[in-house]
Amino acid sequence: MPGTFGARVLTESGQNGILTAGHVAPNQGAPAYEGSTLIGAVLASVHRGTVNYGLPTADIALIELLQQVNPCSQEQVFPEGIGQDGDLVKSYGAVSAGHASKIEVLLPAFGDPREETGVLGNVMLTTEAISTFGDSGAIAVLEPQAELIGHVVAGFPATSDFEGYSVIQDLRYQLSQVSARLAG
Amino acid sequence: MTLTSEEMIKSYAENRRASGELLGWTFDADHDQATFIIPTDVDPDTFPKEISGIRVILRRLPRPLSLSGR
Repeated sequence: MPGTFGARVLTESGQNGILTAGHVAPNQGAPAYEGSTLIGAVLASVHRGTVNYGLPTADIALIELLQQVNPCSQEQVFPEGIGQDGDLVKSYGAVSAGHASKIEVLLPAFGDPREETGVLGNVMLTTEAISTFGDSGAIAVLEPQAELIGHVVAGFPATSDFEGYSVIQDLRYQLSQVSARLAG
Repeated sequence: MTLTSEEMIKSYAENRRASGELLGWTFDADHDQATFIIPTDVDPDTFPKEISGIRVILRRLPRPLSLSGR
């Protein structure tokens, strides 16, 4: 499913990896492509479809990269940070990048209860959309601190009469669910 | 057994969520307030302004979408 590559990481065994949203790469063992180029395989994936109804979950997939592969999706390495209410955040998606918004609220769980899946755990909602379709998995970076706080996992794109919103999931929560650590 | 204010909020929120009427919620003990994120297709007047002495703030948002490519 089309999405955006996120943070560069190291797997538990020390191999190079890259993150994206779990719903973008939902199947463990499946090949992962950047455009038409094979770059690796999905080592682990958790998302709303992997847990029981109503339970909070991370939405994150860990792709173990093939040797000599260096996806250019994230040229800059950011240190880990923590987002709080009122912080300014930017996302860098494959479709829209560099839009900024404030974090409006932190929620322990968020999701549409009409869907028969789990819900997103430990998320931040922005006051305006900073992402659109194709941006799932994009990194979210605090400004001006330049700290990585999570990845875009859902939202509602802006329309002519609504500013929209983005859902960013906490990085530490995501890393803990796929046993990875930030590279660099 | 007496429920605390936070437990009252949680119980109410879980019931409304089970009915499909709540996307998320948070409780702020420091300010004695709870924030409910409700879908725009749900009537906000069906929510109380206060529960067990805790002020209820409503934020209406469209139901979230996956942002994978289409």
